[in-house]
Formats: sequence, structure tokens, C-alpha cells
Amino acid sequence: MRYFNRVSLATPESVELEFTLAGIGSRTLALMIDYSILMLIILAFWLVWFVVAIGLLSSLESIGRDYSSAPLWLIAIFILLNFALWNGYFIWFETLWQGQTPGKRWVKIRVVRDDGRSVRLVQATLRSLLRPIDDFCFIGAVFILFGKREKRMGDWAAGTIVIQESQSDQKSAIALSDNAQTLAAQLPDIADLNQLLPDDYAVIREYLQRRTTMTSQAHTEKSMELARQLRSLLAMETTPANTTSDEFLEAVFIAYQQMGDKKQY
Amino acid sequence: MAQDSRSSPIEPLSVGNIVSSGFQLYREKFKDYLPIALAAVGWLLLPILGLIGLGLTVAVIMGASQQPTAGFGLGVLGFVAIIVLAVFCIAKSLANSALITRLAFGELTNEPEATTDARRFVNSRKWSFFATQAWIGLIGFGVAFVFSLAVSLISVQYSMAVVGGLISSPNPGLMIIWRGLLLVIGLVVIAAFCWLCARLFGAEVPLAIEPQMMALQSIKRFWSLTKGNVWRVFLVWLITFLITLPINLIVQFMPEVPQDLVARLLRDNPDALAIGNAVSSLISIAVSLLFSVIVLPLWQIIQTAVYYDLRTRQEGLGLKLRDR
Repeated sequence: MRYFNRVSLATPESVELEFTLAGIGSRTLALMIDYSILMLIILAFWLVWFVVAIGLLSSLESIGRDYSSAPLWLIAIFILLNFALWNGYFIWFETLWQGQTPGKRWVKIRVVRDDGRSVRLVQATLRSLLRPIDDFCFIGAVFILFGKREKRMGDWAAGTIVIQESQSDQKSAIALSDNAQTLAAQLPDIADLNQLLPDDYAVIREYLQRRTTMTSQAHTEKSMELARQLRSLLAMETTPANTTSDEFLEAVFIAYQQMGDKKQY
Repeated sequence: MAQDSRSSPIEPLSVGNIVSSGFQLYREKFKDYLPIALAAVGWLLLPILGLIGLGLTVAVIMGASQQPTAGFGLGVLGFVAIIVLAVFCIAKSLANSALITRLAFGELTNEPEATTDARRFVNSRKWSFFATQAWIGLIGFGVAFVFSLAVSLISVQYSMAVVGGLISSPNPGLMIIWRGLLLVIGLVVIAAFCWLCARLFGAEVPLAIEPQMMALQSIKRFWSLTKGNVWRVFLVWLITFLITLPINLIVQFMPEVPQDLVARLLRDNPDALAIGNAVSSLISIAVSLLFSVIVLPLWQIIQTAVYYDLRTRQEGLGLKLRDR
């Protein structure tokens, strides 16, 4: 994880905020998604426009007066509307969704101003208007790759950066067995739980959250490995009898939480 | 503004972040990996140069003795020698590519390895790398064979239908069904191809990293790691491809400029045109070689990052408690 550019910003309220920049990969993926959606929208628009224009022209013809300049007008309006759609998509979403477009929302990145505040209409418009220049020969990608703050030209003009959304803790709840609950109650007596640091707890929690998605062999091995390490960390000679390594890890997880609760009150 | 190192590299990465961290590592280690990539490409060049040398020698001998059969024996012998040389060179080249993989994995896991140690490790496995590549080639060939068989069967059916008057008869509905069917088959084939590529994307990475691995084991290992993650691997490939597309395009079209120029300028002078063409094709070869040297480390790193992420995801790599 050390291969991400991070940036700390001072907000107008003199609060220091630290963000992880979005990175070239996420930005390309977001753009790919946005362009796919935009392409569908524009195709649909063309279809509708084609039908409407044909209908209009034929009905004008049936009236019988001179409407020879009508096709030209239709083309002009068509080009204008294409331009509006193309830019409107990004401006609309970035302004209304606080710096996100559907693509950016999908890959969990967001545009913010250099001082961390959310983007407004002005910034979104500047970013969108300069997009064709950034897209031309992938100039924007080069800027993002080699710039320290990963700004493409639109970002420079608008004074914005693109950051990763902070990981919210909306992870699945950890299923804990009854056996582990009983063991957790006994643990403070048989193990030195004070040896456990927040980092260790984080590893155990991460394991318990992710174990269901691991391959079964890896799950078994990891569980045994962590239990072994934990046993020596907590200065226990043996793991409690009749418990699996998973139950032991769950019990330590519960006991640590309870310990934290007690300290708080 | 700080390049921070967070202490917990334990969460799996998103698709975009796999690519980003790959590019970041590429930027950071470019100078270290460039000579290795140069060696990898250089080894591949050796048998080609040998082949050219052999051709020239045989031509000179034939010219000197005025007999068409004079250099024949030497030619055959030389050709066999070059085949053997080529196998060795490919193995060496693959070992060098694998060296980048191994070093990159050390960086990703925060346990960097000394280049000399890593080189010793990959060199001892160079024949396995060759075997892995050969297996992948065989798999690709087999799939292509089955596919072309299927296509020819379908086209036979189609032409029989045409001959039988099924299609030539004015039945546009049937025609549309046929066209639709062909379109669906085409899409299925493309999807299947992408699926296969994703599952073999980093097939030699386990061989470069894990102990007790053989060629086929390595392929099987990567195959099982990609289970359920095919779209992720494919997206990583696609994004990396898109980002490198501009250089790709430059390499594709840049050599055409001098070629075009040569063809225009020397239109009336056949001798000069031949020399000009030779020079411009040399330039285009040089450009594409340079391109391979620059891009090789990137793809090795991306493959490694994919492997690293798959192992984090599937096996909890990096989840460990500190030693007491």
C-alpha cells in the first residue's frame, strides 16, 4: 500500500487533512465507465434526433412553404446539443454529486478543490471544457503519471485534485460462535491480553472478516498460523482444550473488545 | 505532501489501485529494472543475429565455390545449432523477465530481496520457465485448433444451407437468424478468449516466487488463484493496455513515416530505394525493440501486482502478527 501518492491539505479552517490520491488506474477505469455510459446516452440521443428530424422535415414539406434552410438549422442544433450532452454529463454529475460521476462513484474516487472543499459548478465546468485537450494524445494521462499531485490540465485550471474516498467501515458483520463467547469470558484469566496491540487486533479483525472468502485450504492454514502466533504473543502455553483455532481467534477478538469497553468506563 | 507508508498492507486492492501501484513501482524502480529488461530482450535477439550470420556465411561460401550445394551441410548443421541456441536464449530471456517479477514481489510485500540472490533463484529455474511458456503455447494452440474446427463446421453448415437453397430463397427472417447466430458466436469467442487470457495472465509468476514449483504446477496455481476473479484480472489488463496505448500507437505508426518518406523521395532510383527501405526497416526494428525494453518491466510488475492481490484476497497473504 505504500505505492500511492498521499497529499495533506490545509483547509480554510486551518485543519490538516490527509488524502490518498486517486491514482492513474482508478481514474482510467472511472473514465472508461463514464465514456461507456456517455456513449450509450449519445447513441440514444442520435436515434431520437434522427426520428424527430425526419418527421419534422417531412411535415414541413407537406405544408409546402419554403423551408430549405431547415436541414442546416437542424444540423447546427444537433452539433450544439451533442456538445452540451458531452460536457453536461460531467458538469451535471460533478456538481450535483459533489465531485463524482457514475464512473467515479463506482471506483470510489472524488474530485475536490485544492483546499479539500467540494467542487462547484465553476470547477466542474473548467475540468469538463479542458477534457478534450487532456484526452488528445493522452496528455492528461502523462500529467497524472508524472505529476506529484496527479493533476491533469483540467485539474490545474480548476484548482482541483482527485482523491480516493476514505474506506468506510461498512464491512460485513463477523459471525461469532457460542463457543468463542464462552471462551472469551475465561480468556482474561488464562492469557495476558494486555500484550495485544491495536495493530494485532486489526489483523485478527481483518482475518475474521475475510476468512469466508478465502480458499478453504488457505483458511485452515492461516487460522492455525495466526492462532500459533497469538498464543506466543499472549504468553499462553497451550490453546484452550476443545477449541478450534478459529474459535480461539474469535474469542481473543471478543475479549479485546470487552477489555476496551471496560477501559472506557 | 508526503509519500507515506501505511503499516497495514493487508487489505485487498481495488482494480484501479492494482494498476496505480504497479505504475508507481515501475516509476520508482525503472532504473533498476531497465538493465534486466535489456538483457531479456537482448537474449531473444541473439538467435536472430545468429541466423542472419549463418545465412551470410552460407551465401559467401556458395558464392566463392560457385556450387549451389557447397554450403548445404554447413547450413543444416548451423541451423540445428541455432535451434538449440534459441531454446537456451529463450530460457535465459524468460529467467530475466522472471527476475523482475521476483524483485517486484519483494517490494510489494515489503521484503525486498538482493538482486544477486533473486538472480540465482530464477536462473536455477530457467528450463521450467521455458516449459511453462511451451505449455501456455500448447494450450493456446489447442484452443485455437478446436475453435477453427468449430468455425469450419459452422461454415460448412452455412454453405450447405446456401446450396440447399435455404438461404437463397427469399426468407429474410432466416437470414437474420443466421447473422444473429454468427454475431453471438463471435461475441462468445471473444469472451472466451479474454477469459482464457485472464486465467493464464501471470501463469509463470508462481514459478518465479514460490518454492517447490514446476512448470505445470505454476500454471495450475495461477489458474486456481484466478478462480472467481477473472473479470478483475481482465480489467487490470485492459486498463494497463489503455494507459500504454499512446506509446503503442507511436511505435506502430512512427516507423511508417520514414518508410513513407523513403518511398516518395527515392521513387525513381530503385537501388537507393532498396537501401533506404533497409535503413528504415532497421529503424523500425530498433524502435520496437526499444519499446519492448521499456514496456517489459511494466507488464512484469502488473502481473506480479495481480498475483500479490489474488494471494492477499484468497489466502490472506500479509495477515500476520508481529513476532514477540
